[in-house]
Amino acid sequence: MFLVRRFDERAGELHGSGQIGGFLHLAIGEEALVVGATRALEDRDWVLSSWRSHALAVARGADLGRSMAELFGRAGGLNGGRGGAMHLAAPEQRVLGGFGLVGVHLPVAAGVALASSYQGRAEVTMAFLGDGAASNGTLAESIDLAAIWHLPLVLVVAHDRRGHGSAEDADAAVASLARKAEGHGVKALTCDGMDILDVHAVCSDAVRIARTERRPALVQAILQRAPTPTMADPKPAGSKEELEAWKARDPLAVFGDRLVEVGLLETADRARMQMTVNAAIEQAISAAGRSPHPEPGSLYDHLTIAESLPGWLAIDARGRATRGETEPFPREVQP
Amino acid sequence: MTYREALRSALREELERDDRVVLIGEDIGAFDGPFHVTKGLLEDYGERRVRDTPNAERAIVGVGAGAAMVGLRPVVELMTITSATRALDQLLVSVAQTPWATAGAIHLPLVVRTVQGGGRQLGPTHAHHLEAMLLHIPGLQVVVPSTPADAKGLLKSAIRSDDPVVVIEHQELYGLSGEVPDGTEAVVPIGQAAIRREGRDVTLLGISRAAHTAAAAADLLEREGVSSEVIDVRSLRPLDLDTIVESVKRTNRLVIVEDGWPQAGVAASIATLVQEQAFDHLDAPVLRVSGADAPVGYARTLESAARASAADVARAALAALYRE
Ligand SMILES: Cc1ncc(C[n+]2csc(CCOP(=O)(O)OP(=O)(O)O)c2C)c(N)n1
Repeated sequence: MFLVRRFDERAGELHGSGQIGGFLHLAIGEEALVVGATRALEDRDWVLSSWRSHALAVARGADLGRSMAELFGRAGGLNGGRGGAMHLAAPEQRVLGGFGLVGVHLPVAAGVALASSYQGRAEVTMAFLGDGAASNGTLAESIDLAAIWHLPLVLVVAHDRRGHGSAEDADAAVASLARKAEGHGVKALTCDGMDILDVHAVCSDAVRIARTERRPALVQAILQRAPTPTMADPKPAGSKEELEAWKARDPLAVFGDRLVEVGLLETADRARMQMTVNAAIEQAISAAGRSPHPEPGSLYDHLTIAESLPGWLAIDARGRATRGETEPFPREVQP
Repeated sequence: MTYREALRSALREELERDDRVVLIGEDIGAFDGPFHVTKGLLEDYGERRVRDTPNAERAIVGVGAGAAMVGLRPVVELMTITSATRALDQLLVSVAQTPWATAGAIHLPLVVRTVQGGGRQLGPTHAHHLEAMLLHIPGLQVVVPSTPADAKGLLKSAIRSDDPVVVIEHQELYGLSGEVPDGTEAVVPIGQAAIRREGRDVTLLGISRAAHTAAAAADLLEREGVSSEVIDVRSLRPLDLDTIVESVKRTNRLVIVEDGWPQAGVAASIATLVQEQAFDHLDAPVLRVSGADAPVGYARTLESAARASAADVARAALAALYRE
């Protein structure tokens, strides 16, 4: 949890200083959910998400340097710098993405579950979404299919009762996703998204249902993301009072304190663990900084069909320019 | 006034003059609009006129279509042109074809506002240029304003049109400032290209943001002693082919600039029309400078490599002049 938190905090700072670009959706306040839910999975299980993707990759054990390099948009990133934070996939950890658009990954997740089921593999697919996405038709379509085909799919909804910038509960006539899921014949469970033990217990139950009963389940985790002001995320920042109130519920601090209280964690060990994590993250940041920018000429690599048509198509003209052949006009200086 | 403010003033003026105008979209009210275009409108016009929706693109366009069929003049907003792909069935079936398919019995005074581009490392799902996808559909008017005055003027025309119009804004232009006329003066008719600069040697035709790329290329070319005529297409359908062809008759050379993909793109379509209409006036093939035929990358180097730059356009113009 501390790793996911610190990675995000540092990423947020690096976005502020310009090393990370685009939109960076942070998971601060969502750590209990991210860690609790992914720990309910086995290594062979699959994970998909929308745009809040890098925290999941980190929680699943993706290489920190390569994760950070992806956020930096570098060639050494997990996806060669092509996708960034919103589209991050860590295939070795079976994190398929980062799909960027609201709900676009939900039918895909059902398809992944279909393949597991079809080939008799006992894997479970877990897809993460926000409650805003639950108002999109893709959810209804996907869970319907998953229920009809008995797919081992677990949907985990980070239910902060807000869509993009929308007001609380403005996004749905029925805010309870449990009721929506049950309407489609999908088993629904609810947990306290601020409490890692509850998240883990409930998600474990959902994963068991999917794995052993071969049917989909939906977990709604009621949570509150930190109302921190950040340029990185289009979510509106909260007031000072809201931030203070949130700090009292901070899932990371609350859980850490509880471990100390019950004697499972020594204060000194907690500090040492935090130092180790901090050092690993700083190392990842410097590794990311050393990774080169992708070569402009690599633009067409990995296009499944890259054809070279003659003429002044971009392929032709720009291909030459980006390979550094001489030209009468310099390209615009890069930022 | 900025491009963003110009759009807002068009919305405000049309909300003011016609009670049938309603705004529908995600985050347009309480959150001021994803790009703050609709800032303040909920406060001033209330929830009856400015309606926030859940994330449901297909429904946003569909309700707009239904309401337009029976008396309203909705202006619906799709947060990005990528998410607009979700609503393609509505745009195609309910919106574009209904007037034709009912032999004119049903009109659809609907405006769909959406936005393309990005240019700040938004990566493969938030920075597309997809005007060609919408131009493809018969029955849809499609405009691509590139200046504040056109943003206001074309949006006003769109709202007053009795037939559906898609207004494709450009994310990188929201902050652009320029002169914007008031009131009736402000209306820009749909279907007229604008000659931004007169020239003798080559015509540079720009689409959406690429109209600015074309203008920047004209500056580069001037240093080489080349006089360029720069045209901003402004409206893709209906297309002001006359203005383009007349210009080509004067310069005998045409380079079309777009940020969208080259295959089956807008430039490809216009190039075909021009060679059909003005073949005997062309001294060189019509050249296209398009966005690269690849997805948009997050990494800065890949993002900028995929873009049609002013230098690319200038090189194409020199090639058209056989001076490469
Ligand atoms: C199809 C589509 N429409 C719009 C957007 C813009 N968008 C990005 S995040 C977001 C809000 C989603 O809210 P929610 O699902 O609650 O997720 P949370 O931010 O709470 O994780 C929207 C609408 C998008 N990415 N994709």
